[in-house]
Amino acid sequence: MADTPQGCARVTGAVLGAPSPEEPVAQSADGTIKEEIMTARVGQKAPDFNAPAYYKGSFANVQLSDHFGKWLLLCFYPGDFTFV
Amino acid sequence: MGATLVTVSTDTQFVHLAWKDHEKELADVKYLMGADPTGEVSWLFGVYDENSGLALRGTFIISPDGTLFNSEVNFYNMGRNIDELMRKFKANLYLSRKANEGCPSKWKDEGDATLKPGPEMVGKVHEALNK
Repeated sequence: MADTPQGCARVTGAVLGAPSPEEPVAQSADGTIKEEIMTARVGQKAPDFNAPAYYKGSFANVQLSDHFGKWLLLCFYPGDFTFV
Repeated sequence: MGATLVTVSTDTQFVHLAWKDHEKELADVKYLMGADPTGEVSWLFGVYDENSGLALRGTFIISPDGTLFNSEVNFYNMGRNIDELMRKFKANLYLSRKANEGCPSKWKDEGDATLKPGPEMVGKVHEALNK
């Protein structure tokens, strides 16, 4: 995987397929704001995302959907230098 | 088993590098370590803790077609059990081939008894499990 240049402007990942904040938020007839961003639910498609990453000595990017095609294990943890 | 491992924390990729370089336990790490300093990705998976700005210990098993099959979230001070994780993983692999079967709580590996839900099993789960 090629090393990706690391900028300081955008240090975090982005939700893919979500509307950008500048776009007007869709509202239903009763005035409640529709939830456009889908959060993870068992039995449904996992939401896709793109984030900066570290991989085998280099900086890279991780996009979840790039890894579809094989079984995938996604683990979150509170912080580096902690246990699993 | 041919699965891909991706980890995510709210650290930056720079901290991931520092951790990898300093922790001997991670000497063989070859998986993608995602950086999520604003918590967007963690929020998307329901593991973001607004009070601390950290991600809880969430574990998600996703099938090759992108479907989420398992979700487990532990609080900060509770570690994950790799045996239980492997059990779930193997069960998912098995059930992806045998969709009409069910893996009961004591199922550990291929060859262990499974359940085949149907009219004849209604009210007979105990008997089916103890054949």
